[in-house]
Amino acid sequence: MASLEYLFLNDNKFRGVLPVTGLAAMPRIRAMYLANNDFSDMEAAAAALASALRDSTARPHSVEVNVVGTSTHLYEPSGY
Amino acid sequence: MLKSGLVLIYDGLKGPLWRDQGPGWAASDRKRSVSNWLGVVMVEGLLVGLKLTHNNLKGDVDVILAKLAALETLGGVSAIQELNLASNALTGSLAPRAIATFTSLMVFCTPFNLLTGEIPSTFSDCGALAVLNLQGNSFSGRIPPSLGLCVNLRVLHLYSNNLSGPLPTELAALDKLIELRLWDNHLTGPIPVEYSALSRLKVLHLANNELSGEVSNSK
Repeated sequence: MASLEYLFLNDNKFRGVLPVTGLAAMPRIRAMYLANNDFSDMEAAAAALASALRDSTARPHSVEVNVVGTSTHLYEPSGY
Repeated sequence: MLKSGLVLIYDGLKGPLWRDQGPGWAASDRKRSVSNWLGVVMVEGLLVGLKLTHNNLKGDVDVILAKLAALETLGGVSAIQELNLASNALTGSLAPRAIATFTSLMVFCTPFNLLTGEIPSTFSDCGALAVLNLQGNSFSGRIPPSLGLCVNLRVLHLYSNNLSGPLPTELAALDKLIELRLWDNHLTGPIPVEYSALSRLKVLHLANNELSGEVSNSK
């Protein structure tokens, strides 16, 4: 899904560990809504995702992430 | 033949109550060419499009589908490419046999009506189909795996219905798909790993279902 810009998986019953590496590797992603699932330790996953987004290839736009019910821009391009 | 068919549609869907009578449809205005009627698209004498949106059409959707299918099978009268009936008060279900007759269909939109029943598997007979918008109705049953045969599909909006069952693995074959919006249904099971092959997909909206399983890193 190299072209994916908007991913909405919120309000389902997904479980397991949030696939932080795969999510952060999507080069065009603009928004990820993941809240209200059964993922384990979402607070830690959110932090890991923020870190992975910062460490990933520079993007021309911000990335909005909703993992615990509130939206946060976990990535802002430099000069944003 | 075409004009009388359109008049039957008007009469069968409470035409006098349409919000916009437009040119052509009302009994007092039918002398003009059908190519000038509201929402009618003609190309080289063929009916290729019917766009009657937000217009208070009331009644069974089969009034339109059966009549258009009959025109389609006559030959030389219609080759429907676009049917857009968004935001009306149409009831009933989509007849599989009628859908299968629209072999030139590229855009089929009936969102925000009162439609019920299953989504016909015969959309797979519409090889040119690029846009299928059925959101905001009460369709039930499963998403037909045969939609995976609509290889030109770019937009698939089925959200806000009563669909259940799994996400068909077959949709992974839609390599031109840009938007897949299935939110607000009762879909179950995992996201097929095969969906990672959807290389042009920009929007994947699956929120508010009963999907489960782990989300793999290959998504």
